[in-house]
Amino acid sequence: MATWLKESVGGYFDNPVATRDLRVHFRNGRIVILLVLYALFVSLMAQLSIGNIQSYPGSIASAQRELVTAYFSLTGLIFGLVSLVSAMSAAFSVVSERQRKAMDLVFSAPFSARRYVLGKVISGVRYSAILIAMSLPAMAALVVAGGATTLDVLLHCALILASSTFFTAVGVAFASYAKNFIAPLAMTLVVAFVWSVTLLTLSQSLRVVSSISAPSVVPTAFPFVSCLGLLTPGLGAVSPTQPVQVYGFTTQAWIPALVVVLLAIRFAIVAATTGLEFPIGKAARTLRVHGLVYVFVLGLIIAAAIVPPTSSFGDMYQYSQLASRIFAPVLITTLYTAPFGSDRMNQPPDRTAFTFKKILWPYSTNALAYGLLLCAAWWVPFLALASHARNGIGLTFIFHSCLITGFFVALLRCYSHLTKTTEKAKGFLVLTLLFMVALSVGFAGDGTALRLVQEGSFSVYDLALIRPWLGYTQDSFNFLPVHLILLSVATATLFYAAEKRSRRG
Amino acid sequence: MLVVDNLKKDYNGFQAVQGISFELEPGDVFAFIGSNGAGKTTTIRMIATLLEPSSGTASLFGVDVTKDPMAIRRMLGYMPDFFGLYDDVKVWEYLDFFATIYEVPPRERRKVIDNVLELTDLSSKRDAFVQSLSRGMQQRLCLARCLVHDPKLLLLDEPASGLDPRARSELKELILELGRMGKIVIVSSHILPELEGFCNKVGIVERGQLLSFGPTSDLTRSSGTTKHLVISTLGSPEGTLAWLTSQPNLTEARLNKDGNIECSLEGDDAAQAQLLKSLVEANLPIRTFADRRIDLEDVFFQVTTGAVN
Ligand SMILES: Nc1ncnc2c1ncn2[C@@H]1O[C@H](COP(=O)(O)OP(=O)(O)O)[C@@H](O)[C@H]1O
Ligand SMILES: [Mg+2]
Repeated sequence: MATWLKESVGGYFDNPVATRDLRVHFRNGRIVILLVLYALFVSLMAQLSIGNIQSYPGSIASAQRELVTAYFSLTGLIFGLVSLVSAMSAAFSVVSERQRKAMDLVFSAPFSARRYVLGKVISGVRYSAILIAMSLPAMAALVVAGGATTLDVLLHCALILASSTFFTAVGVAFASYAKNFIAPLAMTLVVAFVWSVTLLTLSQSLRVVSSISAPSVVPTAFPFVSCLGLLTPGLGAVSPTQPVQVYGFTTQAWIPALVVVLLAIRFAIVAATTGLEFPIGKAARTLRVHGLVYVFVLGLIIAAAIVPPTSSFGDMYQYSQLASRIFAPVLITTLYTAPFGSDRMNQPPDRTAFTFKKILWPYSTNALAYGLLLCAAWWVPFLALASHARNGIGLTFIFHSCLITGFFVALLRCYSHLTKTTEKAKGFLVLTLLFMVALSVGFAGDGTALRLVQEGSFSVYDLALIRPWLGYTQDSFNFLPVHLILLSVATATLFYAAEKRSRRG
Repeated sequence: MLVVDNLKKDYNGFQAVQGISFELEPGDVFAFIGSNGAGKTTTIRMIATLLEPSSGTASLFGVDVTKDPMAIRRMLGYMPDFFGLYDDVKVWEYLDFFATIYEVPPRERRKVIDNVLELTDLSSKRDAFVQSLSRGMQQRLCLARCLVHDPKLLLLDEPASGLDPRARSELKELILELGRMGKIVIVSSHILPELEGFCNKVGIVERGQLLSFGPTSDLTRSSGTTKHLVISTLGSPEGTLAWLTSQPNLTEARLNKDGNIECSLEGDDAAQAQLLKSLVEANLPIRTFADRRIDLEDVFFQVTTGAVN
């Protein structure tokens, strides 16, 4: 107990990595100049937007709305800059320490990977805190002008700090696996993009609001989810003090948002620790256990928070829309925690066959089994709590989602045989995912694909079927059986090819 | 006691270390010799819990490196093949960093740092930046860092590279002293003269395989079945050389640059005595007849084939 306490709390205090970074980072004068430039830039942006509004020709009410918008744009800007700077500085220092072999000195000593990661995150977050503090004057200017309240500003600062901590941890996580600086940079940006897009689509039903002009309760079918928009300040423009209903309780939006981001931070730190732990096999198993637990808890929270719809298809559409949008993080968790390398890399040479006992070990032969386990962790709470999911449409939808996970796992297995390294394979998979998102947004977002199908110029595939993000429409649902068969065949073929290849090589 | 058993490392299908086994006792100073790319660093990093072996085990006093790495790390001092520097760190900050990592309580850190600085003769450099120190000083500092927690095993990867002769001999003294203190010391190098004379065990590695391993004295003594001899004569050696060349159990009889005869004799000590007797009986003007001292370099060239990865 005492050692556990020492290890978990001691990681934050008297952390030699954070202390060393503190001594070094603020030693030369360049950093001060950069900080001052940053403060000037942010103040200038605030001043410009206030100046524009002062000469605004419309009514007082619309000028007020403009001010609110200006405030949210400013927080968005600050959020972006702060997250970028702290994530990049932390990722860069991890990679450069690996390249200089300074890391070898640390890890040949009895120093845990977790404390190292915490130290790096702390020194990244230190930058965030300084930058946020330096943006306070600019934000204060908008409070004075009437775009936000003081409480808004304080809560937003806290949320920006929390979100940037998450991105810093993500940066460190990728850096802890990478050999050069480019890969973690690119991957962190991809995660930021996916995270923002996911949260933004979740909270898209909200208009720009602040507590000055907030409606009494957020007008959405899924109030819990909407407050996650707070985690991309400026984009998902929600007021932190907005009342939301979570499990029948009314609370302020910032509280659930903060809980979610803290969980996300913890997961990123576990992932980062895995990259540096020795031996990595054992650590990767820990990461996979964490992945399961997190997905299960997430499923539980969201399933419980969903307001049961009436039984018509339209409501089912809305439900599947939500569940499938949140399915994106589940998919990412799967792809991140399941191993996909060719067997040579991840597997002891004497073991090639899959056994249930070793399902949590990071061997590529149990990638599919683990992926399906994650799906189960995600969907079981839905089936248990949301009675409206237990019907034909709901079950079909769940089957479809699991199949898609299987498809991606199989695709990744094939990629990793083609590219020889897991990192490259994951890169290709991210590209594939982005491509599919682009397709779904481009074709199916507004029913274009449906129209094309009806006009006969677009064959069997409504792209709504291969993107789990937007849910079914009545028409895409009609194609579902064909689609499910094709997807099953594709998945089985890809998996067969990958397994055959790994047995041969 | 360090037991390395059939250690292997596979980098994406490339076998960098192909089954290395050896055992060392406390007090052993082990010279780990091999050309560049032979697999020395890879082996050392596997013992240092920095790299996971593809197969095989290494254990220190019964603790397996992959089963309980933290326990191994408490007994271990590792010096990488090039100095792991941090930019912009002062000497005392560098030591403070490692004192914290090695769990020295905050109140004692200052004292420990001062002691270590004194031990390594770096007290005057306390506030200097690490990168401003000379190569020899950096090496001393790095070694000092390995010693703060009194490790049982020291892994020194090419510690003497880039040092001037004086720094090198100081390092030699220090390593010998560490051996006398009962630590296991592994010193890797591709420069042979550097290791001569202070190691009691030698291992020669090539292409990931340990070609020979044993006490230095065994390896550098003429091996059991072949005797290397040096014979000097009074006056011209030609006649003696001609006589030797005609002997059936003698190979490679030749003149060396000092004008003495070097030859290899197939046979044991009795054969050697018999040869001397025959030489004297043949009335050849023998002045001296001795075992040729062979050094590590000779052993190295004998054992290795020069093949590289
Ligand atoms: N990270 C790595 N990835 C691939 N090959 C490596 C890696 N590290 C070392 N090697 C290869 O392993 C072999 C042994 O390297 P090393 O142990 O550094 O040799 P030494 O220290 O004896 O000079 C070399 O051929 C080297 O190219
Ligand atoms: Mg080396």
